[in-house]
Amino acid sequence: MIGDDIEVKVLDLKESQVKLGIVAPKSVAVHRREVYLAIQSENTQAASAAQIDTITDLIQR
Amino acid sequence: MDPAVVVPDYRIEIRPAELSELAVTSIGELDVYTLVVVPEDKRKVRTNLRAPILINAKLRLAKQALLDRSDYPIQFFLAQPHQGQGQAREASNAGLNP
Repeated sequence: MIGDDIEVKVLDLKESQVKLGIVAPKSVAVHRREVYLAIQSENTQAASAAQIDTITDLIQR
Repeated sequence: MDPAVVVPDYRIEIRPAELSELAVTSIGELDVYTLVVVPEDKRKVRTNLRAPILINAKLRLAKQALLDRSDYPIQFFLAQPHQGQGQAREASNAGLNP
């Protein structure tokens, strides 16, 4: 248990793999770290200087 | 961009706590946009349908949500071979979700 209302469950054990499940109230956001990192990476790229040529190209289509 | 341009039936659900953070009671009161990445290779121009930006324009509050539904990809490529076929485009992009 984490606090009063978050439960970590081992769903499956296989050779070198453990499958974990998180049971938490609806108010708690549970996401995988890879998803977080992927979104951060996209945010950074979206904020970096856009390629003007690409945009001009897209607009002209 | 407006995600409805690429997915006309773009629908999202967020937690009540997130709605109250933005001082609204329903998603309808918010403007919904998605970030676009414009790299040099125009075939890789993409938008993030998984983490839209929600804006309460009246109160100038905004946040980036992370949706629970995984059928909206983090990288939805705008340049698709099947132009104008909404469903097919969505389906072909679904596999790109990390």
